[in-house]
Amino acid sequence: MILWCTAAMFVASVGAQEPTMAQLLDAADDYARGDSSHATIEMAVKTKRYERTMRMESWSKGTDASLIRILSPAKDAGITTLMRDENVWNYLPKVDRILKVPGAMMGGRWQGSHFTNDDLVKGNRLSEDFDARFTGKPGDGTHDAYIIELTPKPDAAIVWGKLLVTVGPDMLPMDTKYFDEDGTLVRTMAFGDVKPMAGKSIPTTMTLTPEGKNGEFTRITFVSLELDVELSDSTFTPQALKR
Amino acid sequence: MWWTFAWRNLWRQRRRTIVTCTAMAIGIAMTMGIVCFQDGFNQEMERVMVDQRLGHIQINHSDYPGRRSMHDVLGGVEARIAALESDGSVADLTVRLNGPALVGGETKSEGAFLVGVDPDRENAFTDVSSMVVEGRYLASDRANEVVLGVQLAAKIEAKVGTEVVVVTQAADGSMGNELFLVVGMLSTGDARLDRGGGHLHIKDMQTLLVLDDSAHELTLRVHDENMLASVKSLISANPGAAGATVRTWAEVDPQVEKMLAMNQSMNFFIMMIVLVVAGIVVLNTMMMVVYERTHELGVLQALGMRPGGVLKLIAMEAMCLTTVSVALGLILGGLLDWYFVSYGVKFLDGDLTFAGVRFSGRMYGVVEANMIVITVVSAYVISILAAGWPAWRASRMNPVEAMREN
Repeated sequence: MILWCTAAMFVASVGAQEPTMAQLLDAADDYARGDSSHATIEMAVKTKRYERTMRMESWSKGTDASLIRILSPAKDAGITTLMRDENVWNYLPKVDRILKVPGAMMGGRWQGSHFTNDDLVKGNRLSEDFDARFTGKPGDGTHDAYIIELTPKPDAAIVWGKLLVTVGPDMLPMDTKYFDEDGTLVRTMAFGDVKPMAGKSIPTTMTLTPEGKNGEFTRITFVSLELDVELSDSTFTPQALKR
Repeated sequence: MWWTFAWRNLWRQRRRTIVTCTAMAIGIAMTMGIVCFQDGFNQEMERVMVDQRLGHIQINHSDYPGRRSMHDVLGGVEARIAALESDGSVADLTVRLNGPALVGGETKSEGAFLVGVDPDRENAFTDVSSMVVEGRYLASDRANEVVLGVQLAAKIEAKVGTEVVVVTQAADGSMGNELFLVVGMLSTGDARLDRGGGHLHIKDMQTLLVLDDSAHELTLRVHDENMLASVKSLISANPGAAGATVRTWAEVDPQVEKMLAMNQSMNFFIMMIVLVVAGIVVLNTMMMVVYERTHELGVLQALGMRPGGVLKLIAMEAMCLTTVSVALGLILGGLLDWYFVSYGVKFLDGDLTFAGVRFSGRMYGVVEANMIVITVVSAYVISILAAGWPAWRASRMNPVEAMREN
């Protein structure tokens, strides 16, 4: 859920006093999520082998339910991914079937991007899955943003050894660096292009760059975003996927 | 004269000589039988492991053997096949395009490793249709059919006639997905295939992976498999292998080569055990010869026979003994070999499918002339060695003391 992991409650909370750790993590988590959301996004993927751009529509409710439908290209249009708790289902309109992604394939790429199926459903709540500490704050002389080091809680099913989350003084996420268990940087998610959307200023692009893969990236761009829309729980069931 | 002498001496203890010769002959016959059987087994192993599974020569994209990445394909595969099939050294070939996939039944789905094949070529090459336990193998032309490993099919609750959906991560980043009709179940003994694999038409696989006219593997059988090194360089020069890596089966799977070599050395090991035991019987006999004829040998020396003569006499007796044993052994061993070659040994009713190949339940022997020659020569060498010590002792006896013995 890194896709969404990153969105909205902060607007109200930006106050005069120093934000708490919890506020910062929630800000990073929720800037584009809200209680529920409806968005149109574009995903551009560049790998050594291929480049592709897809347009998708997404819905989310809470932290553990979301749905993404591919609008274009035509070949993939209608393919819908449901993420609920830790599970991922795909609806394939061409064959009119719903397939649950088996555990062994959760590490596989999602729609040819650099996101894995696991990324879609794991680590939804930074504050729940990680222990956090500040390694930098604005005005400490060396930093101009909040830098938070996150280490997975012992019981959290997280593949990373460590995360470094950077949140700006404006409470907007700037980037997240993912390290493996040996402490090697594996990939970086950068948030950029802050624009007004859904009634506030938010980063409208998320670029995931794997380390050591020359020029490869996956970039998600918000085309439109509505927050706190009416969505029923039944939207997020496998049975509803075909609709 | 000496030979007559030695020959006559041999039959002075008729019963002992017969027992010794029989023991040695049985040793030789057993060795021949075991070697014949082992060689037959080896040849069968080579036939199924090499001829059917590995092929003699494999052609891949140069990065494929190491990385096994879906993207490392041989392009223009139709043209490659045509070029290779017109090559005089190539007997036949099969072509494969591999890829991980998600296979979904009505309610359950599993990850699988699917192989796209040209059904007719694959079947001619590996006889895969004999491993179909239910339903049938793929039709010759593409028809959105799939055969699944039995355990995989059970996991996704698919039967013959079930429509399954196959989802792949295609080479262009898109999600390949098609419906396939399960037409058969494979039970090959190869756990990877039975538990998580299947075959479909290579054209269907190319569509799923968006890899038109491509394959990961061209596997060839050649006419002259004993000249594989030179055939390999011939094939490397064929346009069908342009820009690709060409490997012999031993390079593809060094383990199989090691296993076959090990079986070969087992032959020698068994041969040595049997023959050494036979040699001990000869040693015992020759020691008895010297012991009970001490008096006589002393007389011979007193009459003027030189120590060298005694040595020669005993050695010649051992040679006569061995010759009789070898003659008898060849007859018995020949009969045994004939039986193994003609009737074989039945291990199982039916055939054994194991590690993706099909062994016959009945193994036949193979006679290799050089192995018989080695057996006979070893028999002579061992009995001369065994006779050496008693003969040497006999030649070193003091005639006066020897004549006092009775």
